Amino acid sequence: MPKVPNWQLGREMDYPYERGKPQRQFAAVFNINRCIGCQTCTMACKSAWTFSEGQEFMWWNNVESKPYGGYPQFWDVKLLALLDEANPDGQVWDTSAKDAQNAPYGRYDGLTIFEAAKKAGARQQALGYLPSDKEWRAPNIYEDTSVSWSQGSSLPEHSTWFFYLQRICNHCSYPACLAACPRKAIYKRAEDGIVLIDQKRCRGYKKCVEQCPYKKPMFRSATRVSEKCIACYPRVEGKDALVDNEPMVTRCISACVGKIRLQGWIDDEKSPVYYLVRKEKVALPLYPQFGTEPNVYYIPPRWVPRPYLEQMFGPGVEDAIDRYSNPSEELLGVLQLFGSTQRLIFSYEITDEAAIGFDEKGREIVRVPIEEPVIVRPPQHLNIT
Amino acid sequence: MALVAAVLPAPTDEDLAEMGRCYVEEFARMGWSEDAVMRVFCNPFYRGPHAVYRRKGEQFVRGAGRSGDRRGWERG
Repeated sequence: MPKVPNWQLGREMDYPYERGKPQRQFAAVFNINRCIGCQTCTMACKSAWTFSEGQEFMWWNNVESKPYGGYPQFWDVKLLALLDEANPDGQVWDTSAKDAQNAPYGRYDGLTIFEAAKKAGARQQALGYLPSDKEWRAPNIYEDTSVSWSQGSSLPEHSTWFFYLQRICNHCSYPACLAACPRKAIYKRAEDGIVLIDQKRCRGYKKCVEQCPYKKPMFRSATRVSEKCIACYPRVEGKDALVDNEPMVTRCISACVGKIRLQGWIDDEKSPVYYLVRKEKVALPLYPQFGTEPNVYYIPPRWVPRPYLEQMFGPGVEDAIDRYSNPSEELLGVLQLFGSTQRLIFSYEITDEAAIGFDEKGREIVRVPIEEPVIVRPPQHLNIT
Repeated sequence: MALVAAVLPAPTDEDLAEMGRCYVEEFARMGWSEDAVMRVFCNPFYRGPHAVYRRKGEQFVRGAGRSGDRRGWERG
């Protein structure tokens, strides 16, 4: 099995294919601190892509409540248990081995899902399991609570801390779905690193469903092939009718009411996403120990116990929350760019008064004040219930 | 650092308090007025903010916003 570099793990790792670096890599940052679980992103995605027969249970974008929720149910708990079984008590990080460029979180000394499968001599390319139909059926089951405010019946309610985890396909640099596919029906686009399933090649073996650790490829019973989040690639290509040939952010990102999402490129130093992940290091990958080098990054919620967050986002959590809680002027400015435009921001500039976003050709596309003015609508025009 | 299984601490009064303060600060930073933020907390649809509202009370939420020098919020 070839060795490939994984900067999130701070070392090389086994992967079935040689590294194929795209011209640039699609990436996004989700700020968990701002999400109130309104599910607008979920419905924006659903209404755009998965409204047809056989897609009823498909939620390419979902928002689940942690620690007790998951779609499919228990997806991360099950995979963590499989990894621990493959390498008991060995899933550890050496945080003394930090290197700003190649190992920003230290070195992961445990096994990735690829290495665990190899060690077990399994026929799988990556450690995984196939969720049952029951686990797919209801995306937020057991997360809902009775919400009667002042009267009526009430159901048992989770009374501990929780937070919302927003999930789409991570368009990983080393996708396990791609590694798993016996038909080579899954590919990573050279122009933007978006991972797609070729619907004509797929024969519905469900190996991608089984081996993607994030469980984002989904089997469609009506067509007997698998489907997944496509990162709204027609919008990224600038083919959306709303804007002539100008790259736009995905539906889930543009629809977000809380402005928690920002899209960009992880390998372009001018991109605000690069700044948040690689320079300021406030945004972290989801379960980096799986080894797929996921490209959706999260600003961790500051109210959650650190051991839980470190398991989920790796050892960079404490520093990330510290920087986020005491933000630099540049960070404050970049945070203002979240949700500020439907256009894709390629580069940015922060001045004393404003955060400015530019398109690929360096033209200004958005300008947001560092300190937002408060505008109170008159009662007859209130749009908040 | 072990990466599998984390113990969930028993809930404390501070759990939801920090969560509530964080929501208030985030939305206030985006320019939401005190009235607009309170509407989110009062709405049972938004379970996170509403849980804070029910357990900690209206004065806690208003206080979290007023503790900073924010436009659109009454001074605490």
